[in-house]
Amino acid sequence: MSDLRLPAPPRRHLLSVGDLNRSDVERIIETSRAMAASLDREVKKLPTLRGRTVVNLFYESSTRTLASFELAAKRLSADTMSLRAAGSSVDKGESLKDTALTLAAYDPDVIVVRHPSIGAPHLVARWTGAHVVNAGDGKHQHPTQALLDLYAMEEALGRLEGLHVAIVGDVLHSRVARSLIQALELVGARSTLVGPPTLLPRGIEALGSEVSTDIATIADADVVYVLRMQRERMAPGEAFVPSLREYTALYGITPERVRPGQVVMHPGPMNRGVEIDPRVADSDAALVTDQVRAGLVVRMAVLYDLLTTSPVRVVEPLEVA
Amino acid sequence: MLFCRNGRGESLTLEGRVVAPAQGIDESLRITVQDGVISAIEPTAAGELVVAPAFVDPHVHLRTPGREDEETLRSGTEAAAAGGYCAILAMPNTDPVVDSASVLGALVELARAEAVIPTGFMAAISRGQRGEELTEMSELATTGAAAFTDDGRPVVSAGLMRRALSYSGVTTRPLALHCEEPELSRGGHAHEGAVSA
Repeated sequence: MSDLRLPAPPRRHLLSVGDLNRSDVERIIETSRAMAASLDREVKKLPTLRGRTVVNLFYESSTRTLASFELAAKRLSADTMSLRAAGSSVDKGESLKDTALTLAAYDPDVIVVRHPSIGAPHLVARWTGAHVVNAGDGKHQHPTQALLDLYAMEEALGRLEGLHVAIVGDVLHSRVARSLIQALELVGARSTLVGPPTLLPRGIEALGSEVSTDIATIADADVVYVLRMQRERMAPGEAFVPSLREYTALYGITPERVRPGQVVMHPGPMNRGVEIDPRVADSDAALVTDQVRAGLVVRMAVLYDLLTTSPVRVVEPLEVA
Repeated sequence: MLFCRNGRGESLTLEGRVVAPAQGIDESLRITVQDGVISAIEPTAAGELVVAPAFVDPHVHLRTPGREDEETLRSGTEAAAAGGYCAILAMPNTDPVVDSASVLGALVELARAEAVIPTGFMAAISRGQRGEELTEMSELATTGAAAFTDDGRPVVSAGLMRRALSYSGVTTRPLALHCEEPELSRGGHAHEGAVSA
C-alpha cells in the first residue's frame, strides 16, 4: 500500500484577495480593459468561454454581484445558471454540502458562491471540482469587489500606486473593506479607516491601515470610499451607534466634507441620506455607476483568468536590472 | 461652614482651623478676602470653626424636570451654596430622563437663569435609562453633558456597556457607573455572610 496520492488537479479559485499577488491584480485589470473595449463593439458577445458552465450559488441577497456575474458569463458565451437559496431546496433544509455536491454533479466549470458564513466558498472549493469564486462570505472577503474598485480607481485617477483611500463607516461588518484594504496594500496604495469606534474592529490596524474616529481625516484622501451600515449583520436591537441620525451627523458624506478633486466611491446598495448625502451620490465626484460598470468587465476578466490562465499559474517574468 | 460670595468692594474675614489638603494646610489661620480675592493670611488662636475650600458634589438630584415640587434648580443650588458647595453635577434620572439634546438643552438654559452656583448635568447612557439603546451621546456631549450615567440603574447588558465604553472615544466624556448586578442583589440590604446570617 502506498501513501502516494495523485496531486490534486491544478486549478485555481478566487477565494480571497490574499490568494493574489501584485502581478495577478495587474493582469486582471489589464484583461478587464480588454473586456471593456469589447463592450464598445456592436455585438457585445465574445466566444471565449463557449461550452463552459458558470453556476451562481447565492445564499444572500444581491443585485449587482449576481447580475454582473451572470451577464459576465453570458458576454463570454458561457452557459449560466443562478440559484438563490430562497425558493430552492435550501428552504427544505438541504445543507450547503449537499447543495454544492448536487450542483457539482452537473459538472460546472465555475461556481460563484455568496454565503453569510465566513469560509463557505472555501468549503465548496474543497467539495467540488469546479473553480470557485467567492462573491462574498459573511464579513470576510469579497475579492471581485476589491478588484473592480481598483479598476474603477485606476480608470478615474490614472494610477493606483501611492493613492490614499479613506474607507468610511461600518468597517466592522464589511467584507468589502477587508478585501479592499488588502488589495490597496498589494498595489502600493494606502488606506485610512474612519468611523465610530463601535464600528471599527479591534486590531484592524494589523491589516496595515491607519485608523481614525475623526471624519476630518478624510480631507487628506484621494478617494473617499463610503460603506453602508450593514444592519442585516447586526442582531435585532443591537445598535452599534445611538441612532442613524447621529451617525449621519458625525460621519455622513456631505458636500461640505468632500474636498474638490476627491472622488467618492460606494459599493452599493446606498442608503441615501444615511452614509452618503444624495447631493454627493449624484455629483460628478461619485464613481458609483462607474463601479457597477467595472463590476461587469472585471468579473468577465476573472472568469476568463480562471478558465484560460489555469491550470498553469503564470510564471513571474524575471526582473532584468 | 460658610460659602463666600462677597462681591466687589466687600471684605470678609474667615477664622478657624483651615483644612486645605491639596495645599497641605491644616492650621489655625485668619483669612481676609477683599473683592473676592484672598488679601491676607495670618496665624490665629485655635478656634472651633473649620475653614475649607468650597466643595464640589458630582452626584446631585435636582429633580427637574418632572418633580419641581420636590426640588428646583434654584432650591437645589441654593442648598448647595449654603452647604459650602461651589459646583455640582446633576443626575439624569428625571422625568423625562435627560437622554436627549432637547431635554438637556432646556436644562442648560434653565440653569443659566436659576442656578446660583455653576451647575453641570450628566446625561443618560441609555435611552430612558432602560439599558437597551445608547443615547445620542455625541450630540448630548456637544449640548453640554459633563458625563454619562444611568444613575442608580446598573447597565446590565454587557454588550451595551462595551459599546458605551467604546463610543466614549467619540464623546471624550467619562461614564459614571452604578456597579450592581440586580440578578444577585435582588433587593438585598446587606452582604451575604456571617454578619447578615
